[in-house]
Amino acid sequence: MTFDDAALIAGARQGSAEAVDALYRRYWPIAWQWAYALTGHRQRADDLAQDAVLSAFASLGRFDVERPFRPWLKRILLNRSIDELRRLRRGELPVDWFDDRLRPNGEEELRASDELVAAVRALPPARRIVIVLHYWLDLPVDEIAALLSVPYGTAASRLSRGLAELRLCLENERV
Amino acid sequence: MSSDLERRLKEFPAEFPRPAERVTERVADQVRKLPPPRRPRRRWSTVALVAATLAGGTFVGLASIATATDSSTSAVGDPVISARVYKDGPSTYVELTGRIPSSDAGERVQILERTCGTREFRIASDTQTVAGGFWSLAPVFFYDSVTYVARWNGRLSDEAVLRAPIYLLPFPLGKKKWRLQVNTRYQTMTGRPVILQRRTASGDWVQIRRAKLRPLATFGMYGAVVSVKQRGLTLRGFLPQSSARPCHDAEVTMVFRSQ
Repeated sequence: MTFDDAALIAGARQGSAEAVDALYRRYWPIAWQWAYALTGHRQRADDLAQDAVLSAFASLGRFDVERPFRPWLKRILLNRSIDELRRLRRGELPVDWFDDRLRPNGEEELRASDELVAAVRALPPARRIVIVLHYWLDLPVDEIAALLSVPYGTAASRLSRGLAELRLCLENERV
Repeated sequence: MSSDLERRLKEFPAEFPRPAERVTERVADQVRKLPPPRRPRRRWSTVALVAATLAGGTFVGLASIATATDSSTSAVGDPVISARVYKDGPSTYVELTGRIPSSDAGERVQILERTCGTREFRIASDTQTVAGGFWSLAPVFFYDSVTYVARWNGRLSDEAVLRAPIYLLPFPLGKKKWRLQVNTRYQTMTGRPVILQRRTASGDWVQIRRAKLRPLATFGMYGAVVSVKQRGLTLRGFLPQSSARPCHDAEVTMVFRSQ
């Protein structure tokens, strides 16, 4: 944790609205971008990041100040997204919630022309989430395996196959 | 190609869009409406507080030891303490700073300390606030696993916990066997697991052996023997956080190769 984070959290626990606001302004954009990487969709990123941030700020009193704040927030957000994935598997969410072939819905969406984004979007969900978690959210493979409740080898092979598919996809686009 | 692709993937988050301003403000409103976070209740002994108060003064000795067991404090109006550890040349220092809820200058703040592995807090130092309610202590050498608490007007701050590094060393016992050993005086390491990891082609570290630490002949030394038959592996020892806590953080050895 940076010195500033510790001071802000201490301030928030003292009831300082300014500290809460400063902490929120610092981490909301980051949380939102993580959510965006996971969902690939602006509106769903809004919902997911909002859930995670509200949950984190409501639990600031229980936060262990000896630990860094950022990974804690990331873990809350990931747990939320995994919950959503499970709801999706149980049929409680529309099938396109984590769909990878989503179309950009505005100027601010990821650049549709970006071949890399298009290729990541085109991956099957199981491989895409491993790629996103590993490269965009900086999670090591063993943590991904634990998070998704799959063996280490499964997570590693999904990562490897996802990369191979991406490579193939990008090569095909160049041809 | 693969490494180029991986590099592109890793660099890509810099191009992510940012959240819409209206959503940012909407969520900010909801965050502001949350009830103020409350710290978990901390238990302190009334005896401890009385003993600490009576002891007073700067750098008092063991006579001022206070026992921490009972009682509790609330979050509002407590002093704040922060510890900054930094290197200056070959030495590592710790600097304690903080603030009290009052912005008065000249207020007395006591700093209590507890060495990891003991249950007693003792008064380490005291200081006075300057304008704004801020206080600071001169930096001191950092070499101990210590918990600091600031005390002002009978109220206690959160704990600032410092953990000294624990050194995990791979001691070769022949070509295929190593003893992973640690040295600590704060806590017993007997039975705590230590892990031997190998580096995969993708650069990840994966567990290949796990062993429990046993006490060695020298006081404070613990070791666990691991063996690897396969040649040419890139290895390291890893002491997970669950084994290192509460007095130390996770540690890894230098990298070595199996022969």
